Amino acid sequence: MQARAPKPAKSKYKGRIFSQILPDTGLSGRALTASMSIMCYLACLALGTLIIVSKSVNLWSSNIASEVTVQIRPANGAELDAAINKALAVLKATPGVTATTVLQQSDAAELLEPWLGSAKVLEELPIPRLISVEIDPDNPPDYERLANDIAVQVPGGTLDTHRQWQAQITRTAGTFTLSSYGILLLVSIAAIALVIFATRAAMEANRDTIQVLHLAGAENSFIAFQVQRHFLKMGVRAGIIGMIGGLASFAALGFATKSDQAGDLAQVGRQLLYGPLSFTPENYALLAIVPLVATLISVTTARLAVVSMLRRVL
Amino acid sequence: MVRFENVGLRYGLGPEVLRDVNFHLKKGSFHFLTGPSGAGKTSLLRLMFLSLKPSRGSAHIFGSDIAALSSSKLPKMRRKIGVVFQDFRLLDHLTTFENVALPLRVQKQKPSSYRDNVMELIEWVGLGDRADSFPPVLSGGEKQRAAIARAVISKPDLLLADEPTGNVDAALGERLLRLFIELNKVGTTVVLATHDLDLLNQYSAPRLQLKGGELTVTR
Repeated sequence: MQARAPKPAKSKYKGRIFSQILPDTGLSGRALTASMSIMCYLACLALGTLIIVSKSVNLWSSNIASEVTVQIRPANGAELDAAINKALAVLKATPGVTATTVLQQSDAAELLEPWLGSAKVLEELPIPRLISVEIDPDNPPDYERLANDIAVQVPGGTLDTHRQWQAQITRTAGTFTLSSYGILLLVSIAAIALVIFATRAAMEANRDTIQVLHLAGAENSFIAFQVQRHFLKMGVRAGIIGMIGGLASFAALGFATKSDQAGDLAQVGRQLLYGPLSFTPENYALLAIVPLVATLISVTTARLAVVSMLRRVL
Repeated sequence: MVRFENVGLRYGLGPEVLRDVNFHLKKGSFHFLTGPSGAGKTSLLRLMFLSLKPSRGSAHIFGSDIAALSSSKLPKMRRKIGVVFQDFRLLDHLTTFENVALPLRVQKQKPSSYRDNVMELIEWVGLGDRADSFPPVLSGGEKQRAAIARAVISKPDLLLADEPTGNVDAALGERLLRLFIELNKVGTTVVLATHDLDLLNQYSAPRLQLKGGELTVTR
């Protein structure tokens, strides 16, 4: 018989941190963490797209909404300059109009030159004159009344509020937004399915341990807690990896080109990460939701799956 | 404490492994459970430690019908029962100390309240120097002693032991039997399943004898 080592002192176990009742092995492996990280990365991309689209549409809409155009077509027997002056007078008298700019005939001709050729020909054509009207977005004029005043008082005059373009942009943005929400929903469903599958595998791998815990008098909630703490760690880890991946992708997008044109992908990518202070913290906060939601999905799904499985055991 | 009346048990659609089992264990009694291999000893123990429900008949433990027990009441009932398994069922990733302390840990007791008691019991079963060892490095006898210590650490009302001395030498077997007898003297009802004739002859107690799924009680 081998020689016994000296007996440990009773105080040896004071302050000791106990091992986890369920071992990490077979619970939440690397494959699950990698798959969940990819899900979180896709969720980050979808969220980022949502932010970019929403911010860009707001920017474009506010630009369009802050300007309308009065168009004056040459009418029979009417003096065009007199009609412009009349239109300017109507606009000046309208509350909510902040500035007006008459587009000169030569400027209008330049705009049409690519389609109609040299300016000399254009001089002979009855080209409509345009007045760019800046309005106060916070206190816009009554467009219906203004359109009516222009139509009645200015021969050949019409008001273009750009609402058609605004509606088109809103529809396009709505499609992008809906697609992003769809992706987020699919990613969440896939993540839930992954965690359920992994929980079942974990329960199977630890069947003997769980049986011993049951026979030792462990409540289902105690066992569920032991399982869910593993999925908590996995969810946090995968969420952070996915979020960092998403941020890196937007950073790469931002520096992919040197373009600084408004609305350009590279420009919005940069704006998403390093934009104006009022904008960026909000974006970071939204992207930080990804690890939180990933953890919540992992923990809740694992708990529900474990409790449901344990209920079927005596 | 435990009352079985006309209890029958079958697994799935198979034949009955226990037939018309009748017995009554009074509080504080000591019984041996004997019978040849395959007679149904482990099945009967599984019924008593609430791992199975009877296919027919009436089985009452601590006054409750186990066939009608809801799963929410099982943990509290199981905490009153200590079980020593034939194959030990120690958790390989936990140390001897942690394995023995497991029933107290699942009851959410504070480690400071049981540390010394656990260590005292581990030393009593002769595993003082193996408290930090993991089961894979323990011998069969050491595992058996750790399993017994785990079963008795929470001072159960009912102690069920399946071949508890099967892997230890005669001297330690006698010592472990004394532990069971001591526990019985302080009020624990003990059922000890064994083949060991020496052990049966060392202590005079009623025997539940199983043969072909049928049980007879001899005094």
